[in-house]
Amino acid sequence: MRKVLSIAKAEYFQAVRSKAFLIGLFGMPLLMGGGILFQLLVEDQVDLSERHCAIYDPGGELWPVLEAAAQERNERGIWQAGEDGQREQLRPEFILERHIGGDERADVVLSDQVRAGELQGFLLLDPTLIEDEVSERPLAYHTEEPTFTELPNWLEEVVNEEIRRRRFAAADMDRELAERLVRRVDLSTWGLLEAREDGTVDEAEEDNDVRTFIIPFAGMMLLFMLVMTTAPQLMNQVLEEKMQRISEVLVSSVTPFQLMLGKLLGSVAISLTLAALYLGGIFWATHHWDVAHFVPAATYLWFVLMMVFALLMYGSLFGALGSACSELRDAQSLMMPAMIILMIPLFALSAIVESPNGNLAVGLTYFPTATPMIFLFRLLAPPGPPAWELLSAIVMCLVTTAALLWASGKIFRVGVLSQGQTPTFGKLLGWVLSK
Amino acid sequence: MPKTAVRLDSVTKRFGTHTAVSSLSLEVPRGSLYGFIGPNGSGKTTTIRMILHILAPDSGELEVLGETGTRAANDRIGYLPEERGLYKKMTVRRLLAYYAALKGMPAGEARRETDRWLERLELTEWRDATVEALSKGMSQKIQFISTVISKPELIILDEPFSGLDPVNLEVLRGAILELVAEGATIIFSTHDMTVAEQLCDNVIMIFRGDKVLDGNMEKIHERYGQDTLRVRTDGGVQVLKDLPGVDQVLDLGRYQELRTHGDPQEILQALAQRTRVRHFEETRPTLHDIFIRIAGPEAAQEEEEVA
Repeated sequence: MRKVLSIAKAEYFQAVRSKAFLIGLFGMPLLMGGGILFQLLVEDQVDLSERHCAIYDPGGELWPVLEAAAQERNERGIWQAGEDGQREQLRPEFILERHIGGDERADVVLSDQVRAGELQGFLLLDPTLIEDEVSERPLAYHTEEPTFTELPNWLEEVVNEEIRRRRFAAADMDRELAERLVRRVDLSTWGLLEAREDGTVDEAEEDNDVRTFIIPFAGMMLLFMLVMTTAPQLMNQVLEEKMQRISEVLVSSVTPFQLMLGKLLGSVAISLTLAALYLGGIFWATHHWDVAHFVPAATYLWFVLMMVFALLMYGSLFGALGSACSELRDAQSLMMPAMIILMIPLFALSAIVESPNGNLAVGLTYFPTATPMIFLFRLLAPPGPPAWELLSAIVMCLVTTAALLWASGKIFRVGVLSQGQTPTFGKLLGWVLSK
Repeated sequence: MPKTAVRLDSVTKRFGTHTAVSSLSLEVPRGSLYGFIGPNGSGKTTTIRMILHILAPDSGELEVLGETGTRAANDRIGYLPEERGLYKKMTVRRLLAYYAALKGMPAGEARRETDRWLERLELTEWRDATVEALSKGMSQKIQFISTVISKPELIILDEPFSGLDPVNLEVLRGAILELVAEGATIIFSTHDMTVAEQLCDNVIMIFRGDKVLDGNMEKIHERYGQDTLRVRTDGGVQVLKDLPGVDQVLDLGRYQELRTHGDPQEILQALAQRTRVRHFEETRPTLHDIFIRIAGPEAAQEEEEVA
């Protein structure tokens, strides 16, 4: 065991003293935080260039309405008062132009204008629009840039508002009364109440996205990223030692299993260091902003436990694959199936979110390598798994970890000294089953 | 303490249908410098890996430093494999400390040994440099130190001089002889028979997995006699044709080596009648010559092809 710890210690210090560790340490939060920050920054950066849109309204019934609505919007609807008293434009102006049809088809002529960059798009209003029986395409917006949805949405809203007004008028009905009568009643989702022995009742809390989705999702993603930071690295390290002919010296001093175990423990120590920093940051932040009740203390313990299991599982898997390869190119081809196994929990996420304790979620929890991540998500998502699963999931993790360590140790034993062609998965299985 | 450092008894190792080592028996005496010689691919490295318990033999028995069938002796063995590398990003001092720790050496003692060996091989000023900053010769000396830092009783060196410049080669040769003088047992594996002949007091020659020669160098030379002449003449290799008493002529350029069965005096007289003799020396057959005699001329060709 002393030698295993020597290997783990060397792996750990070699990693934490490297620039790659510092980049990984700050890179991951920067990547996540930076992504959110970038979104927030660009959210306010709006392209304020004028958007020209042609309206083809053969009946001419709605053009005056659209023209007036655009004028109203451009004068008042897209501005806010700045601190210095100046008006600040928030959204782009919509400049509407009425197209009067000629000999040629209007939609063909207008399409050419859009292609020429003269128009953002054009709107075709069918004369049946204001009738009870409308045609198949009463309101059609044509554009080359369908991702810019603000203009067609606004057009649709203006046209529909006018049509509703006309319908109410035609029916001689009071619109305000009608809207009051069909007003929706909102439903809110709450947790359960609990009666105490002293007769008081713990009131239910209203569910929100932070508790039901954001915390479980963030926990699972943090675990995924920590595994991704260290487990594939193990594959590279083992392969590098093979390529640089270091492995043979090492296995003359320690058994291949001791070597693999030392490396795994080193990886776990590296991840625990990263986790301590990140979880410490989360602990501080949740207390600082007074939202610590969303992340109870047990959450941290479960996270660390599942992380250790996940690292031992994936680390041994990647380490074994690294030992079986002789070249980087071969490792990359073997890495793909391993990555797919690693990503199964992410693929299954939508099904688990829908029903964290449903049959599918429970079944996927016991897919061997997926247990740590899926179970962590289910632990963090209300109401949490039933009590018996706390034990069965741990047992499943223990069994899977032991099986993977055993199988990887067998592959590692043969692979670490093998040279030449990378073995097939069938051959790897043969190594596992060999004496 | 047993007198034998390593004992192999009828050890065989197969890889699929290929027999890498066939019923090999040998004894390496303690304190000896024992040469494993033979062309590349003859089974030397497989034998070494079995001694280190990196590979398990299919049959036969191994005893290493008094231990049979376990890795218990591995902490007392230093191993420098033929294909070797170092952690490029580690500093020299940390690297040596790591290798010493893997052999179970206490940290304080490892530090003292590191300083002693770095000074001995004139590398003290590089102790805090990363391995990637070292020249090839320096790296090889560090590899050698990493092999011997834990004061092993048995040191296995597989092609230790390959790629070394003459200056560093002499430094390492001196260090190896010093270790032998201090009582270490050294197994020296090489395909370069000239080097083995100069260094080793015992050799075992392996060819295609079989032992073809084993014993003390003096006794081997006694057995194969002094049937070789080295000559240089004005007439060159042409005048040696059909010379009485000469079985084989090996042209070395400026010199020719003759394998003979007759009286050297009579050969000299016959040669002097043909041309002016510049140099005439009675010499012993080299290990290479002996290898060719044992394994046949096709072995020489095979050796050249794999070397």
